[in-house]
Amino acid sequence: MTDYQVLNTRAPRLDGPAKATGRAKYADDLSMPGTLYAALLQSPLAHAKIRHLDVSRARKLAGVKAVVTAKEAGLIKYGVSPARYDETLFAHDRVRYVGDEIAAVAAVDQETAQEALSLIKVDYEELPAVFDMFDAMKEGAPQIHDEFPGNINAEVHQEFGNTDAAFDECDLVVNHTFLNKRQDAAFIEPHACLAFFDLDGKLTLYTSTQVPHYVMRTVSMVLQIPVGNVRVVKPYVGGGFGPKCEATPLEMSCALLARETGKPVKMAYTREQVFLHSRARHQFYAEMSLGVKKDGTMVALRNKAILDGGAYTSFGIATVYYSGSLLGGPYKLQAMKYDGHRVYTNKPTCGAQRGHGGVAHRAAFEQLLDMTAEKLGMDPVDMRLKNIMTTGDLTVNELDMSSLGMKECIEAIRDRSDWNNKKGKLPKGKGIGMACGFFVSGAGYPIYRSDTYHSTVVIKMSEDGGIANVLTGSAEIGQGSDTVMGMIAAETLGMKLENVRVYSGDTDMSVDLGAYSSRQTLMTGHATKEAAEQVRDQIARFLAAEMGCDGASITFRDGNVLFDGGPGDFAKIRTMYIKEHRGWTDPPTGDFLTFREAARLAFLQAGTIVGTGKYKPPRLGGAYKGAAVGTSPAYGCSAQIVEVTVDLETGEVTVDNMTDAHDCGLAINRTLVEGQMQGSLSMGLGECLFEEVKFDSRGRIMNASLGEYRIPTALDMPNVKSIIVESNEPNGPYGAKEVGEGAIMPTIPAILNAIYDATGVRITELPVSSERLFMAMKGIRK
Amino acid sequence: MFLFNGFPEESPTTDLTVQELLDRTNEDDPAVIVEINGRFVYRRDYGTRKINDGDRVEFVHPSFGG
Repeated sequence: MTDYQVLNTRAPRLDGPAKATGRAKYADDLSMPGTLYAALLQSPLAHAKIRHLDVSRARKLAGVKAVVTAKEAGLIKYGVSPARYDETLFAHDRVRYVGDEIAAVAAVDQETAQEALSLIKVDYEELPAVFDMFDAMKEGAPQIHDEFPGNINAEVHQEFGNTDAAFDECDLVVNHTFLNKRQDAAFIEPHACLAFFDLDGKLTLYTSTQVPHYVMRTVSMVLQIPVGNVRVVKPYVGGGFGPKCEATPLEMSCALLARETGKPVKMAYTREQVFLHSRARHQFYAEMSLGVKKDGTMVALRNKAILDGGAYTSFGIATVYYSGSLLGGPYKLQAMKYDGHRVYTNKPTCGAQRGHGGVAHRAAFEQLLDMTAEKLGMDPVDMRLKNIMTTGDLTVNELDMSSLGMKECIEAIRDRSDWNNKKGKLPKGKGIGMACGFFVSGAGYPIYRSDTYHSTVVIKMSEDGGIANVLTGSAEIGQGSDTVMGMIAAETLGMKLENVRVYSGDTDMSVDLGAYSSRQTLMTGHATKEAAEQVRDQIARFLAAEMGCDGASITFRDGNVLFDGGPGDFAKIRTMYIKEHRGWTDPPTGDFLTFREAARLAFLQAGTIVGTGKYKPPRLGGAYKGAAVGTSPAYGCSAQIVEVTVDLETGEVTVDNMTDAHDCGLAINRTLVEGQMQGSLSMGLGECLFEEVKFDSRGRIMNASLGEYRIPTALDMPNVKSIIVESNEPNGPYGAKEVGEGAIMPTIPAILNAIYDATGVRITELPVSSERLFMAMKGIRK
Repeated sequence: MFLFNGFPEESPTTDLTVQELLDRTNEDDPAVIVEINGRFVYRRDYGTRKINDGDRVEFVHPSFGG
């Protein structure tokens, strides 16, 4: 193990004090003199033509400063992937879901803005709507977008190897179907933003987002502002989990209203509007067949998917691909075939949520593995170990497992959970189940076609040499990325972490694609490391010249400078520093030259010392045409074992214990890694047992509040054993890779497999409410 | 004239195929997905699928957001 001074510790979060003392400012905490308050008019109908729109009465209301519609906003289409720009800021001819935006108002206060909304008259012609993905694909179903007949938003057909031939060789084929439910990410902080233009026509937009860079580009495009005149700043963010990965009507409306009025304009979604904006987990239907040999060797997989995408595309093109490609591992397969369809319905739009595209199909697949193991009379752990991939393996779809501690994860949870003494030996009503999963550490491409760097970082030393300022456009959204970048910078520079300051989330600071795809530790981490290396090497060069030594003999460690491992004769430099700063209260002391003195020396030689770093993935993917969706520089992986108690009279499930092992490469910060692991468990538990966005017969959400949409609390969380498995990822900075999303992959199937172990009932539809499980058990009893 | 990745493109021949367009644009992503008018084009059809006047052709790199 490398002897790190900062990395691999439990360093406190850099943002901890601000958050713990309530000083952290979130977007809704911000205000400026003369700020106007905005509100959105949203469709009450799921599908309708707009025959006429009259905003004249709203404009006349005292206190209203602007009312904007498609007439003012224009009809520039936008979205996530340029291949599916299918949204306009405001609907002008047709609304496609309850919540589709029609107009926005800015007024002197929120009450006036809301009253103005009530004065806007919209003449609708209601159209037939379709809310079910299977119905939407039927002939004669209402068409939601004319350009996409049959409501097929995106489709994918891929085959790796000869699936039919591979199945012919199998001794056993097991089939399975699975249906999850549309989820809400239920982050604590609703979207909010504040927009203003300066006198030079430059827009500054403070917003609660995961992706300042993409928001900047979309706002620029939709409002036709030169991109250089748009600055997006992310204040503290109270969670995102995916739905904050794209520009919102909230942001664009505020920017447009700020331009119309010349005033700062602010708006926040209500919790109901968060549900309506959605961009959260799709509903997936999975149909799978797994073919194996008698000895448990996995051979072939067929996978079909249908995704309910809602009214627009968002990340949907990627989602439907990931549902297939992320089943290529972590098990060896000879052949895999995937057919997926994402379907438009008249419901809020689904997008990327933690574990993008992979969670539901992983749940189905890991259940299918257990079903197969049972038919073969094999232990589920043994069957997985028999087929597991290891470092250096390529998946059937040519994803390169450049490091993979999957086997170590499985063995760790098996041993720490006492699996061998529990599996098959627990009383009825008690069960134990396991599952695995993996996920990307960043995507191979940006959302738009470009050769852009995915991350750039600037590190600028202070004039006195004592502070390293890390400037990055990356997005700290609660996951701890600022702390990770600070630690990487401190380790590389040989400084103490307390002397590193991280300024992030500002598009004026650097290019960074943002907090999605579990990319920041690897990608922004690479750029941070490179920037720090540049700074360190410059300082070493000037110091070597001053000392008359070889630069290679200089090392920086824990805030000190070592010459050939010793203190060296640095008296002249220290004397110079102290005399230069007569009257200062913190003269450098100690037996070693400090980093501060060395950096000051460099400043005196060259002015402000700046280092820049950059990263974009190399060309990824194999030579196999049609392969490589889901390419990433690295893959994190997880294994989990869950123990449950099922009340056999009511169907109530209590999760008693969770044992979780995750391979994140080098754990930059062990506490943050465990936080991501445990947060993933909580989110997966909620999706498995409680969560479902429910609609009435007219497409209106019935539970759009955190009172009615149940998420897990601390009371629902069991004891968790978190085991960090550290492979050394060759493509990651200091060997690090993801933990943010891979950790959620096994949770749902591990719970489902445990429920089966407890009851003998295989649940194929989420959530596992007491009623659903009770009815299933009743069916078994009949 | 057809629309290629959002930009109008003059067809160099009257019977340009998807494969020819891939070759002409030096597309080297093995995972690239081709859509014409919003619909998936099977890889086995690249050599025969003609790009017609007015078609909307998109080369999509779906690995854009895990």
